[in-house]
Amino acid sequence: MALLQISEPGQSPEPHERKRAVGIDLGTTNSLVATVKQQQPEILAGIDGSLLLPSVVHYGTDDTRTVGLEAKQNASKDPLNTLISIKRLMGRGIEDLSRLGNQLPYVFADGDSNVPFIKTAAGDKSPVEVSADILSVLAQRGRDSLGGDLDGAVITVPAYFDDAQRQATKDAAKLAGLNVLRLLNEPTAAAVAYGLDQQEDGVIAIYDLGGGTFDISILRLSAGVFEVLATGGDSALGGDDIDNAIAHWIMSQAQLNTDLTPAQQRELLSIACEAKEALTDSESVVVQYEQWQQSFNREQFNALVDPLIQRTIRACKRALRDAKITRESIDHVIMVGGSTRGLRIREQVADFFQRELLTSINPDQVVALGAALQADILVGNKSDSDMLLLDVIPLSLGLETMGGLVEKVIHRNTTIPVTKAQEFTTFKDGQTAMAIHVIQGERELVSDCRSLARFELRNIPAMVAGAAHIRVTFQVDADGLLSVSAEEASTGVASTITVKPSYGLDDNAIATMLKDSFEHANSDISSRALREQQVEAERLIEVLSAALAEDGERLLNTDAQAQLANAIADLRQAHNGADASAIAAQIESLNALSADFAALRMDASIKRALAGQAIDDLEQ
Amino acid sequence: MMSMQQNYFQLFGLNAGFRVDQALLSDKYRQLQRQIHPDKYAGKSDREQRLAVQFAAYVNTAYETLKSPLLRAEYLLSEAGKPIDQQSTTLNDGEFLMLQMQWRESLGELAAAQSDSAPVSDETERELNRLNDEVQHHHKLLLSTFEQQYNENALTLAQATIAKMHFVEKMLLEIEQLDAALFD
Repeated sequence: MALLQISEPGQSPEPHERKRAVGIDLGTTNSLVATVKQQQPEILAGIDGSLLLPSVVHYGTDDTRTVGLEAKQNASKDPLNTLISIKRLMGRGIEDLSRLGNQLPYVFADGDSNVPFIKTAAGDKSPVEVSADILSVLAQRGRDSLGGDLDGAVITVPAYFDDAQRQATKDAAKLAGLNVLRLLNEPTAAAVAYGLDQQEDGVIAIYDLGGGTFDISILRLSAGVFEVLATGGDSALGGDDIDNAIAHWIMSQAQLNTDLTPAQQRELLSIACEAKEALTDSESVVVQYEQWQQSFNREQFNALVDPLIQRTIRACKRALRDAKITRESIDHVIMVGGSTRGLRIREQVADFFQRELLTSINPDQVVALGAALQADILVGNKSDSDMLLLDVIPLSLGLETMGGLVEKVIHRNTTIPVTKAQEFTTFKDGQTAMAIHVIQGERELVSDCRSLARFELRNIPAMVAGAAHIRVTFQVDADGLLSVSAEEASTGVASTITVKPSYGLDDNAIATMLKDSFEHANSDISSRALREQQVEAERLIEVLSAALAEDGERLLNTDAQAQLANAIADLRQAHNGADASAIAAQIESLNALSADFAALRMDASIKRALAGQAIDDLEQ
Repeated sequence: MMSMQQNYFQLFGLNAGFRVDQALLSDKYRQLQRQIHPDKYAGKSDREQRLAVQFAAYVNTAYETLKSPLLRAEYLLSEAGKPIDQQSTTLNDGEFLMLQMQWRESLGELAAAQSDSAPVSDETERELNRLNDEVQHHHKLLLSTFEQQYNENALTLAQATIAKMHFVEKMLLEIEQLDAALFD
C-alpha cells in the first residue's frame, strides 16, 4: 500500500528543488565562498563585486564591527581592534602565543581558559567569535546569491590542522548559524577542483602555502576516487612568516628600535608584503620606511625566504616517504594559496619535484571552488556523482602513559573514518573512574606533543583492582574529529565521558556566545530558535518520507509503517505551529521511533554493496 | 543486523588465505566505500550518519589488515584461534637473535659515524642501503616461511615466525628513520 503524502499548500518542503549549499575557504589572509551553478563552481562576490573577503574584523565601540576590506583599512590606524590572521589562533592556547608573539600586537585578556580572548573596544573576543563574524558575511553572500536559507556548507581547513583547530572551526560555523556538511582539507579541495577539471587519473602532489599554514598532500586519483596517500605540513608557517622575515631585515637595516608600537609593526609588515609582491615582477625594489630607504633585490629576498622554503621541502620529503612513493611517480604538482605566486617558491618547488607546476586555476580560488563541488554533492544535488574522497588523519593520536611517554593509538596518515580500541584496567579496588589524556603528535614524550583533551570516564562498575576490562574506543570521523566511548567489557556497562578540551571552548562557553551573538544582531532569539527547529523538522520529514517510500514496504510491517507515517504527520503539524520546543520534542520522538528503521536501511544498503549490486538492479 | 564481526575476507569477497590479489582488494575496497562512506549519508539522519562512520571505519580496518602482509598473517592466525600476544612471545631462536644484534650494531655504527654537520659520505649511504637490502631479504623469507607453515597448519611455528617478523619490521622502520635523518 503506497503512502499518500498529504500536505498543506506552501507548507511542505519540495524535495525536487536544488538545495542551497556553499563551499567556504576560511583563510588566514582572505576568505571566499563559492557555489555550483549550472554544473560549474563559481565564487560569489560581495556587494562591491570583490571575490576575496579579507579575513579581517574591526571592532569599534558601540559593539560595531566591520569585516573585510573596510576593516583592513584600519589595520595600521587601529591595530589593537583590527584583528587579522585570526586563523593562527584557532585551537591554540595562551602559551602558543609566545611563538607567534611578535607578529600579533593584540592585548590579551587575563583568564585561566586555554582560549586566548583578545581585548577589543567591543569586548573580549575569542578567535572562534572572530571567525564566526567572517563566516557570517560569507553566509550572507550565499543566501543573497541563492535566494534563501542555506542547507549546508563545506568549510575547508588546512590538512595539518589538529583536532582542536578543527573543532574551533566547527564551533565558529555553529556560531554563524551554518550547518556544516563536512570539514574538508584544503589540499583535497584543490585536488577536487583540478581533478574534475582535468579529468586525468594519476598521482597528484598539492603544495599549499597560505598566509599562515603550509600543507603538502599526496593523492591518487582513479575513476573519481580521490585517495589521500599522505599529508604533511606545518600549521604555523605561511606567507605571514615571509613578511615577518622581511620586516626584521628592514628593522636591522634601518637600525630601528626593536620596541615598536603595534601601529608601527603593522605598517612594517604591510611594507614588507608589498616589497615581496613587487619582486615577482621586478629585479629589485626600493623599500621605504619613514625617513629610511634602501634597495631590496631578489638575491637578498631569496636569502631571507630560502630557509622557510626549505622547511616546506623537508615536509614534502617526509610526505613522500609516508606515501611510500618517489618524486618520479608524481604526475602533477599543483600550487595552491596566494603565497605560491612567489617566483622563488615556484623555482624551488619545481626544482624539487623536477617537473612543471600546475597553476592554471587561480591559487586563491581553487580551494573554495573544490569545496563548492563537494558541498553540491553532499547536500544531495548530484545523486549520480561517483566522486569519493578518502582522506587521512594528519597527526598520530596517542595516550599518555607512565613516565610522561606517549603510546600511539592511531597513526598519522591512517584513512578516516577510523576506530581503534584499547583496553585498560583499574589499579585500585572499587575504582569507578579513570582519566585518559589524549595527545596528538609524532614524538615520544608528552611534553613534545600537543595535548588534545582529557577524557574522564565515570560509572565504571566497582570491581577488584585489575578485574575490570575497560574497552575505550577512539573514533575519528570524516571531519577528522575524535570522539571517545568506553564500556566495561564483562558487564557491558557504558561509561559516561566528560571531555575537557585542552585548547577549546566547552559547551557552556559556546551557548553563552550564541546568546550574545543574537543580542548583537538584534535578532529575536525566539524567532531564530523557531526557524532553526522548523528547518530541522523539514529536513527530517523529507528524509524520512523518502525513506519510507523507498524501503518502508520492504523492511517494515504495516503497523510500523503506519506508526512512522503518523509520527511524520504529527511533526508536520508541529512544524506549522509557532512553538519551537513542541517541534523539538516531536523531532526527538520521531528520531527515536525511526532509529530501528534507519539501522535496517543501513543494513540493507550494506548487503547490497557486498553483493555488488547497484540499487537499480533490485528495482526490477 | 549487519554485524561488524564479519570476517575480513568475506567482507571483500575474497578467498581466505595468505595470498591476496592486491588489485582486486583495492577494487572491492573502493566499491564498498562508494556505498557506505559517510559522505553518502551527509544529508541523511544523524543515526544513519553515525552508522556510516562506524561501518566505514570497519571497512578501513579490514582493508589495512589485508593490505599488510604482517597484519594479514596475524589476522589469519587469530581467526584460526591462535592470536599473537607480542608481550608474552619469547623467541628461542638463537641464530635469529644474533642476527638482530648484528643488525643493530651495524645501524648504530652508521648513525654514530655521521656527525651532524658533515655531509653524508657515499660510503655511509652504500652501507645503509646494503643493510636495508639484507633486512628486506629476511623479511621476504619470513613471509614465505609463514605462508608455508600456515598452509601446513603448523600454527605454533607460524606464531614464532610472526614474532620474528615484528622484530624485522621494527628494524626496517629504524633504518628508514636513519635514512630520513641523514638524507632529508
